[in-house]
Amino acid sequence: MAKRASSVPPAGQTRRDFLRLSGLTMAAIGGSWSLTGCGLFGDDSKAADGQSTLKIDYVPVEVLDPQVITNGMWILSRGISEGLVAQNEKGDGVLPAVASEWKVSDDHLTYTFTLRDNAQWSDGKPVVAQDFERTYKRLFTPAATSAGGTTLGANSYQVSTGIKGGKDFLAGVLTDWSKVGVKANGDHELVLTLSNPNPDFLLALTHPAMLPLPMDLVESKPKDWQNPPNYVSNGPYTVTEWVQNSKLILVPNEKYWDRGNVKIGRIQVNLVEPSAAATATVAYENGETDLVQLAGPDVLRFQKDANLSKELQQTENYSILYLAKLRSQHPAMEDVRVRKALSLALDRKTLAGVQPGQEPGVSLVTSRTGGWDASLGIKEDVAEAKRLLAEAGYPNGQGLPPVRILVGVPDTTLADAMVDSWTKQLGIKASVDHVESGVYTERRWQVQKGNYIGFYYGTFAGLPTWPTMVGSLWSPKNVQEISLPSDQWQKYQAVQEDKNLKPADKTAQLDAILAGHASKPAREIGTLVDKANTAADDAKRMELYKQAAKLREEQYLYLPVLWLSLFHAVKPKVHGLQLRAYPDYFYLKSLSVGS
Amino acid sequence: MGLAVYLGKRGVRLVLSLIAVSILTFTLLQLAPGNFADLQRVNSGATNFGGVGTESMVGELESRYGADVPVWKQYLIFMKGAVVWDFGPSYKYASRNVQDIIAEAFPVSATLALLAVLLALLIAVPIGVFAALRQNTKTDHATMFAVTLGHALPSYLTAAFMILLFSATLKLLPSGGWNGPEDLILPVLALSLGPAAVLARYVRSSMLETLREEYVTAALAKGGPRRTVIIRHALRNSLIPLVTVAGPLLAALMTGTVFVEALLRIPGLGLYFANAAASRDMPLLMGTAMFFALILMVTNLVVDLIYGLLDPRIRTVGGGSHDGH
Repeated sequence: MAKRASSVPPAGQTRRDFLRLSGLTMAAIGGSWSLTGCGLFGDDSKAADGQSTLKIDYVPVEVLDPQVITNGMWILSRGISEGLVAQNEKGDGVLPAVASEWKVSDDHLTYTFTLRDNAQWSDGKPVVAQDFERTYKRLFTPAATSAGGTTLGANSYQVSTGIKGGKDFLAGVLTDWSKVGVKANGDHELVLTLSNPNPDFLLALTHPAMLPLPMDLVESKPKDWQNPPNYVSNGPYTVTEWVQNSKLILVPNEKYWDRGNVKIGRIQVNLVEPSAAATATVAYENGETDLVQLAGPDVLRFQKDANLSKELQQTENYSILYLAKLRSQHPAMEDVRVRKALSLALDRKTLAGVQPGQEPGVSLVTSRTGGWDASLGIKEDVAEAKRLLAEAGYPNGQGLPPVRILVGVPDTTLADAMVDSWTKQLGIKASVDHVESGVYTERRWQVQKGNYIGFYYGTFAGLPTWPTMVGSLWSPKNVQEISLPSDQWQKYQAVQEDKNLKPADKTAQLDAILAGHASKPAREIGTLVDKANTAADDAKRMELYKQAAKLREEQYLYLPVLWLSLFHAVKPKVHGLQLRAYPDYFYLKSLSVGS
Repeated sequence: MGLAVYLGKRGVRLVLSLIAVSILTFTLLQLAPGNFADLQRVNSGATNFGGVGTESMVGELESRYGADVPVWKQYLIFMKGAVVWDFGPSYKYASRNVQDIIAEAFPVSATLALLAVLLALLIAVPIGVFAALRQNTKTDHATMFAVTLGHALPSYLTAAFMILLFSATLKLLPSGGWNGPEDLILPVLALSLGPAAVLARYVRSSMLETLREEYVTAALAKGGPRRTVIIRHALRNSLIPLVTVAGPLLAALMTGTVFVEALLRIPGLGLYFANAAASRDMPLLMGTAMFFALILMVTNLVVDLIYGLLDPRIRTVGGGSHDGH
């Protein structure tokens, strides 16, 4: 009891005093909060009088660095940064952007770009050829040794772009920058050299990885250059406000060379978590956003509504849904007949009817690719599938372990439908293995234990051109890796993770494993693609790509399932929207807002 | 002196708990499958577009932690910074330091939490008193039924209903976002209903207990007006136990509004915490987890101190245990 007295608060602090004091404190806190009230919600800058405002929905942007693979890079290429060239309305060719013109050498290896002399950064500095060379040097500098380089995450460079020495510099094999095919001659001439002719090169330059960065700023403020008010852009719009997980505010870049054609006064980009996508249409119909991407169930609802259906826009055949073979201790899936049977027995027509805007995906190469023909496509045949299964030693599926589909995305509707298709058509056991995305990333590369066999589930999109469809998506190297026997695959992974190996040695050892143990057809695909890259004429090149594509289909290591569409809801007041089947979907520059 | 010793002891306990939280969080994160770089590739642009590259294209976590730094050393480097409130850059939000993210996002969550608890109290006290004064009548049962229902409804479900009602149907309020004061209404309403229900039950039972106290009977017997006796003698004293409930409720709301923040597109700290775990962003997860632990423990300490101030009978050196007399 004596203890109690000792803990009495200091003199003068009675209960009443305390209550009074705490009341005052609360009032002070409240006051300071209301004083900084605008800070709590961001700057809350409104468009100036008479200027138009556009509100669009986008996913959260964590970084605004186009050299790291994040969603942020696709908002940059929409019209915050501007590259040498931009895609045309259809997305199948390019238009001048920072480069006003270019020349291609006769051997199709050297591209000489002339930069327009009125191109400027939003801080008023001119955009010069050196900016591009320095930006690309940063892009090609391996993360581990770079000073202000891409600190985290995956580098966004597309190896299939094919800039000479780029891939090797990035791998650390090449360290002499002068040997990389990027050279600024004076302020207005940039020369890019390729290792092989690439008919897609100009289109490849529209990828965010190839956008220029204000390197003076990046180097002087390595930690803070992305954050407004520091942010500097060279495209039609620039970023004035960025509230993480909430919004990005864009205003016209007053220094932009084509300022007269930038028509919107203020763009509010709402950064909406994918998990909140279910309420995205509520915001759209409530007038909080003018443009939003739609999920399947909402598309159906919009299609049925007389007014909303007019605001629906479709980008057909945007991406492909595929299954990729999982490695397993169980040998069943190593037999191409089993894999082929599973592909032939997928009822793609029924699957396509499950959600709006889907088509049967009969080949990995999308039918939008110029020169595509049905001979590349899979011909479904349930009787043949049953015969193949029996021939492989699993008549009517007897003895075949359950076939799993490993899914790491929230929605399993389509995977469930595939399982249904196999169970009905082949009478085999199959199931969906729905896991958290971290589990998915780890497990899909593992050798599965016991009798766990099946596929992982994924989607891909890319340029509808042969070099991308055959050389870059499910590239020859991917096919070779996935064709490795389980024991060799484990060795391969061990080499990949070995931190003591020098870059050149690592690359050499990995290549040796592929050369020695990848399946013969998988290696042949690589040879065909290499030949295609150096082919003399376009007809010959396409022929070789097609051969490679056909051979790839016949391995059934990757099963094409569906070609998917994208849907956007767009308010009638938004004009000039040009949807393209490319991950940035559209450019901001062509947009305007009417009444 | 006693208070100083007491605070000192609590301080030591707080530090030890923080260390335990950090070790636990770090270990669990190491055990979780997948890593930051792989997840970035799968969950962002790369799934939509062929991200094919060389082995070295997957970045090393280099800013503070070299490629060859063993895991245990990463922990020590992190903790060395944490001591001086420097958690280093987040992996996912690479242009920001974790402490800056906390400084930016916590006021958002804290504002929501404060307003929600305030509103909860404004709802709960009249309801609790009302029910207590009509104990065991039909009104009492009906009120308590409604309160139990409110308690059982998770806040995200309430939020979803409110979006449907106020935004989708009535088109009165924005369905989400963080642009102005009107964006506070739905989250505060959604967050306050659950706590209001909890508090109302406490007010009712505490009020019933006080009404049976001799001093209330005495005050009534002296002929004081019923209204005055109830407000001045009964209500004031029956609100004291509320402090022990409202404090932790406030702390829980400040740290745990993940679902409501995601649903209503509010850039609060809960959302960062959830994203950090999902993307295996070590510095951000560690920073937010430790910050949450700190908030909870400090709130509990403050509650204990306030409790002692409000009710002199329970001032004990034992702190948390109120059974010292």
